Amino acid sequence: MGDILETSIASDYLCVRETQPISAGTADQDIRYADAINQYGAALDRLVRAYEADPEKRRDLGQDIHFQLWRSFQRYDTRCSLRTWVYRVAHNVGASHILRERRIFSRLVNLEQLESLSSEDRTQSFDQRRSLERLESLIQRLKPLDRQIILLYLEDTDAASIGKITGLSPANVAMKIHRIKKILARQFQGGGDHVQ
Amino acid sequence: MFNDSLPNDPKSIWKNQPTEPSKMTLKMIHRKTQRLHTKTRRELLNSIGVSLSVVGLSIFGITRVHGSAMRAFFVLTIGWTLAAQYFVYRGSVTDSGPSDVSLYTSLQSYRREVERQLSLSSRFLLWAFGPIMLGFGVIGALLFAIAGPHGFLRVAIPYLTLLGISFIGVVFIRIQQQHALQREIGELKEIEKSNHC
Repeated sequence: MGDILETSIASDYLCVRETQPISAGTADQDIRYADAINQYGAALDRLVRAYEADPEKRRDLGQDIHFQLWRSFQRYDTRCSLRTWVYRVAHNVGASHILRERRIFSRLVNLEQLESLSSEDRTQSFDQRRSLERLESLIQRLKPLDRQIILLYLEDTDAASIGKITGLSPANVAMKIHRIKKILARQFQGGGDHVQ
Repeated sequence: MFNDSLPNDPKSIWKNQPTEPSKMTLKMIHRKTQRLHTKTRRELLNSIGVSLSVVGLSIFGITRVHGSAMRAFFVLTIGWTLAAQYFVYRGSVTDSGPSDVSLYTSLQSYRREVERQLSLSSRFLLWAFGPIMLGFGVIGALLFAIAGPHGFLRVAIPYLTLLGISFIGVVFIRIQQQHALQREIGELKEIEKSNHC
């Protein structure tokens, strides 16, 4: 990895080149990357599933996230917790992926729109696999920012950390989480009664 | 919070799904970097190849036609094609890519990405799609010059119709995309505004 290389990311029909060199990884960088993967590898795998349904593209996205994460540790800022750093990088790569892959007539919705839609297709199912599929399809209908919040909520991330990762104010995060809870309650528990 | 004892608790459904955590080795990262490097080089070469073909055809056209209007058309094609190479790659180099992903919050990063896509989309119409269509125009003009108006029209009408439809289609789709991206920027600005309230 000693060579200084230039990477490229093809975006649409135009070639977008990153001029920043990719230098050899430092020992610190490798250690931090290994540490991050040990702690958040499974969460990253779940995150990739929420961003891409197609298995082939999912594999590529997973590699992109790992690659960018490894690169990002070259300038890891210790003021930021490892979790915030990892999720920030992963979600930002995921959101860029959604924008690049977005089809012309695909309609992603925000939480507010999903809230009004979700009551229409509510079904009761206690089968784990089908519930997971339903949860995945629900997440994949969301716009990137709302998708990030629901994923962070499902990963048990506290509101303050969600704010740090997404850049949303505490009030905005609280409002979004409230909506998420209502949607999930309606979808999975037949109503809003279980939301505290 | 949800009651975790319920069998349909979304958090437990989500967290208990089977995962295959992967770790990229340095070897894999090196391979990926090389692949990206090759891809950039290939795309650059393809783009230069297409531009050179258009320029070559235009020069050939200048030597074949006599009217000053047609010559001006070929000169315009050469100029636009060369300018397109410059603007497409100059713009691309100044754009920042996902190497910045760790520096920004999701909101900032997403807005930057949407703005970048919008800029790419407008650049595509002006500096990539424009010269390609002009390239087809050059071929058409050459055939016109070689076959004469009657022979040309008899052969070319179906192709010209297809070309016209695809031109309108691409422009329509791109404009729709640009509107969608602009709407998205508007929504993100609203979120940013509400953040400060």
